[in-house]
Amino acid sequence: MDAEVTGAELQFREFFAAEYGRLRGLGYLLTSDWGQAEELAQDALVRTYRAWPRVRGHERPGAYARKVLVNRHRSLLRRAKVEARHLAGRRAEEAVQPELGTDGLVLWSAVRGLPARQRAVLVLRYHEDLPEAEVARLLGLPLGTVKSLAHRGLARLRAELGSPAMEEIRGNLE
Amino acid sequence: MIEDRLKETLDRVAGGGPDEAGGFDRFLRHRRASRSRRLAGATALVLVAALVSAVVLPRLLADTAQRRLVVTGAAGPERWLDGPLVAVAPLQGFEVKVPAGWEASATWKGIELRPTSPGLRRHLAAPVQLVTGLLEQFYNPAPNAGKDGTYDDLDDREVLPGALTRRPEGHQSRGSFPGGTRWFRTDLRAGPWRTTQWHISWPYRCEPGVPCPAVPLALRTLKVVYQVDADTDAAAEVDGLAGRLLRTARPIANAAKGQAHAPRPDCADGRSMVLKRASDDMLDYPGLSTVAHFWWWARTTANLVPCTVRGPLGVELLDGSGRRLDVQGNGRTVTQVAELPEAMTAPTEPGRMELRLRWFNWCDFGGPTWMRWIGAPGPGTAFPVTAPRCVDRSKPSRLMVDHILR
Repeated sequence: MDAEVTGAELQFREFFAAEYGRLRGLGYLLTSDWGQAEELAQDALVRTYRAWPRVRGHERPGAYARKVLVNRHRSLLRRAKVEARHLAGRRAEEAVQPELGTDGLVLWSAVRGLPARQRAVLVLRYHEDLPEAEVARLLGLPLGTVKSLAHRGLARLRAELGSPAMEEIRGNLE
Repeated sequence: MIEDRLKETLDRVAGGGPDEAGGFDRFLRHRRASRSRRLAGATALVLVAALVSAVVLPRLLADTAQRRLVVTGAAGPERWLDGPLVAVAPLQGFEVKVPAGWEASATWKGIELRPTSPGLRRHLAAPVQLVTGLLEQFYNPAPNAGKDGTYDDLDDREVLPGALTRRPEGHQSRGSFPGGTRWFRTDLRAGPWRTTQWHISWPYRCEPGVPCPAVPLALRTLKVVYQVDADTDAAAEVDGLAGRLLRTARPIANAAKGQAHAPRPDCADGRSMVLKRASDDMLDYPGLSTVAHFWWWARTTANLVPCTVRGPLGVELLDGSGRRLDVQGNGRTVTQVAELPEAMTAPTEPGRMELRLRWFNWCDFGGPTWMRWIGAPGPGTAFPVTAPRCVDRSKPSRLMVDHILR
């Protein structure tokens, strides 16, 4: 029995090493806040650890942790809109990522300006490479709504990228 | 393509965070904190459960003991409630605890009780009745307490005006409960069944400014009546219940000093009131009487709640085609006629209501005259009546309320 527990523990450590960074990155893409991203990732991993005897047999245990993280993020959005607005205010003060390049920074700035659901759909669809059906399942939305949100999000990004405000950001960066 | 640029940007952003070093240590701390929170939550749940068991549950149980069955004097479906509970009968002026093992139901008169055990219930011919009422002077437990006796023992000076004296059925006994409450009891044996009535004096306090009912209030009693299989253990058990009910009953409302009386319900004919009506039998002496009389009478039926005769009561005088006769006051009615008290067990007790109307000086001899009772239960059938003799043709014919006796 002990050997089995130890084996499971080791297996979880491997899982942690593989997924921690990815989950933290996903959390950041959803929140624009590394502190909150860290919290979301840790929370998702602790919950995954609790369910590990059941989850480790899954074909993709990482998908379970991702689902926990996305659910947790949705829950936080619902429960703390005021806090979310406060955090949104903080995001503007964070340092940008110089290695993104000018166009990347402009695009990331546009992503951060998207409504939460549009942003989550685009992050899951294009960063996590999830099919729209999986995105719909993760976010608890109808497939048609996900398609619509993705379409409108991309259209808005296109529009934002060509907008005078983005040109100004681009100008400031250059 | 915007999609490709977006993916590339998102991947770079996600991978560009602070150093991941120490992530697992933070995970371990996070896990410990999570465990502590869960443990604290579980502890809180345990504490809440302990609090519920220690404080809330006993209160809930106490509330259960304080469940109430309220007698309103209104009709309703038979509904039995398990004891322990408190039965409250403000119109009868008592409150009593119904013990566990018995269930109670409200009736017109007070409450009924029956055992929850089918074995015991089998030995009762009917539910035990707990009611108030006015007792014949003969039975009055107060002046005769402590004495076994018969009709011959009765002191004539104790008989109140208007009270009936008649020989009670069965064996009588009198005694006192511990604490001094005196009781009077009759037992009548018929085959295996024994019918028992217990009485104790029960006060009636008139409200300030409101005339007292015209009945011998000193003879008001709280009574338990039951019919039990006399040769079984059930008899002793039901006797014990009766004694317990009478010993622990508490006066409230019209039986308690300084308490307001409960609002009286309206009397209903045949249910809480017997309503009768009559007119002079003038057909035998046509044209001889100068006045035609019409009477309404009402009295409460035995041991029921006091009630108000609401009315309207009156008389309508008609011609042969159903039109009202030209009589002053024709069709006039009286409302809020009387406040009827709890009745005595005999039908000639005081306190009944009488409403008399007089019709006189009918000088139109154009045809037959009819009358109809206004306020009578059932369809308003018209009856032929002989009109009063014409006395003064220059004066109008009149129908008027002669008197109301309450």
